[in-house]
Amino acid sequence: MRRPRLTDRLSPFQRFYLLAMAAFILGPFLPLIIQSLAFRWAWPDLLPSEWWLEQRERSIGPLAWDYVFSPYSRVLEATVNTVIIGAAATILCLAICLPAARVLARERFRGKSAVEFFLSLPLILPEAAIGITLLMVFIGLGLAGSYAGIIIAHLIPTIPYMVRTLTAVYQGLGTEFEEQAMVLGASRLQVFLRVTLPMLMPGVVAGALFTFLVSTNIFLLTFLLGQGRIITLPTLLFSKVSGGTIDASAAGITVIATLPGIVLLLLTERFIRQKAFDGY
Amino acid sequence: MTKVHLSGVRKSFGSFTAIEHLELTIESGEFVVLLGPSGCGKTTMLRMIAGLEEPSAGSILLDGADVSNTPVQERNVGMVFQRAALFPHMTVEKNILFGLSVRGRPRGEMREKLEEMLEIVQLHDFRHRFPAQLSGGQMQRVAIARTLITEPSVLMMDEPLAGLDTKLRATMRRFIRDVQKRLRLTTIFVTHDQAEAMELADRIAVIFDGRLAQYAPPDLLYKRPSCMAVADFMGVSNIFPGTLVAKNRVESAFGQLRVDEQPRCPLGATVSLMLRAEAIDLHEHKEDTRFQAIEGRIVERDFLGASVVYTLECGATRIAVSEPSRRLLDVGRTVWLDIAPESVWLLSH
Ligand SMILES: Nc1ncnc2c1ncn2[C@@H]1O[C@H](COP(=O)(O)OP(=O)(O)O)[C@@H](O)[C@H]1O
Ligand SMILES: [Mg+2]
Repeated sequence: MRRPRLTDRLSPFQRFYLLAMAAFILGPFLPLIIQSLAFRWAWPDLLPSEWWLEQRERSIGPLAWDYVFSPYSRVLEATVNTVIIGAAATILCLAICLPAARVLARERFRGKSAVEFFLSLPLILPEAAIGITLLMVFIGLGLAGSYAGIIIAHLIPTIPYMVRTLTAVYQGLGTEFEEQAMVLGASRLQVFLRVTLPMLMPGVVAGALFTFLVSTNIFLLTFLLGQGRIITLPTLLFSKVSGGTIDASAAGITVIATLPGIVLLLLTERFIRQKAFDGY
Repeated sequence: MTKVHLSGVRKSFGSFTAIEHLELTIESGEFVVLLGPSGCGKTTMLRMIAGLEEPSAGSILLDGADVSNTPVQERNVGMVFQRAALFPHMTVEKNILFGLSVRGRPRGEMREKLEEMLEIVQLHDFRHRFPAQLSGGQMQRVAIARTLITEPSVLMMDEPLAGLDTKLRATMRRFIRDVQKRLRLTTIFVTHDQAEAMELADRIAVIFDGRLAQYAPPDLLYKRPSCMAVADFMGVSNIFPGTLVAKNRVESAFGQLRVDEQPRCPLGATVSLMLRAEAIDLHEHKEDTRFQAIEGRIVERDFLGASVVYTLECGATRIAVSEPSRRLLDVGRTVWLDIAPESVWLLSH
């Protein structure tokens, strides 16, 4: 096992470089957080002239974060929806893509390249085209405005990535481990649960993480198929900013919208680092 | 202890026939080595016995029972794969226990057997390691323990020592042989290395292009190969054309040579004479020869440590002779070759 070399100290240049990267990625979030705490912040002031906390007592209705956390904002509902839809889409996507990836990685059959082409089609087609097509079909099927409809719609842009990720890990997994397990007496289910799945885990985690993040960020498909009946964080946010101004509560909702991804990343990072994967 | 019988087994992959009508019996408790060049079908045979591959024709019998339709899981055969195939996400202990764990055996029994296996393969200190933290030899020992713990009826090993260095291979060979003798397991061991085959086997099955060329104990295979291909594969150095002029005489480049009676060959038949390099004696004086003396001159000497191999010129032909390196004869010397009639083996065409 190659391990990265541990250096005691980074050179000044390396440190500057890392800081610059962090500033570039995190920089835009700073104004967002300030905005979420502001009451009045007019151009070209560097900081808000009036803060939310100063105005809190005087205001009649809830302001800024008070509004975000109040039932009026529907943030809780949108967050729960986002997480439920994301989790369901991820699990379904895995269930569909694991067998597909196994076949694509291990078998040679006629029409394989056509299948591979169709699998990448959603990456090429505009999201609006997919959304409107699905809407037409789903209205007929009575799926428009339902969780099922949105979850199915979310599978379309995520399946291509998931299949690719899982095909790659399946290709790296020789057949001998599964065969050895069978010779040792393991049933098909035992082989899958005890050998295949754990050995594919790095790819499964990567694919699932990606699917969940994509799903929690999808706006257009959710907007079209939710028909206003089901809101998620992206659609809620869009309705808040569509007026053209970004006030403190819109900024607050935006901050909330970044949370599912960050929480998930922190959780899976611990998992990926676990000692169990020393062998890879 | 199980008897394995392959009866008329054939295996095709599409239009390619990997195994042609194979008849092979492995007696219970016997150690059989499948020997043959790469691609001759050895792995395919093991896979068919294990149930990972279905024969295109014929049947496989374990103790007389046809298992052709028995799924892999229920055959209870053991197979050690070429590259150990240890589960990388499990410790040595978990790897070894896998077979019992999927069978849902009680904890107490698993503990007990695990200790027994760790004792056999001498891996106590490594029980909590992951495969990536083991050496090649240790990995193979874990793979063997993982198979043995299920008490298979047949132990099969597919070139298990291929990736190891020479010294470790020797140690592992002894280890495998000891374990097999102790447990009296019916064992099928695959290799393309004839020295390895001879050291391990009770009987060797030589396979060329999916056909069984010869099936015999190592000494017989070495002294009495059934055909040129086998002789060649076993590393016989001296093969010359000849004609059988009497029941026990061959005309060859060395003149007439006395041989053992050859009931199999008709008079006047063209044959190949096989002379093993170590069966020929060299004498400095003609009077010391006991059977038939042929004059030769040493043109080359290869010192191999325990033995020394001379290349001699006898008239127009060259012949290799090997003897213990107790004495060394100089290149350029003229000596007398002594050939015992029983050490000449004839291959008919
Ligand atoms: N699944 C397969 N599909 C097609 N040909 C195969 C397959 N498995 C083995 N073969 C062919 O069968 C022959 C024997 O293979 P194998 O049993 O692996 O040989 P060995 O183990 O003696 O090296 C080879 O020519 C190989 O290419
Ligand atoms: Mg092989």
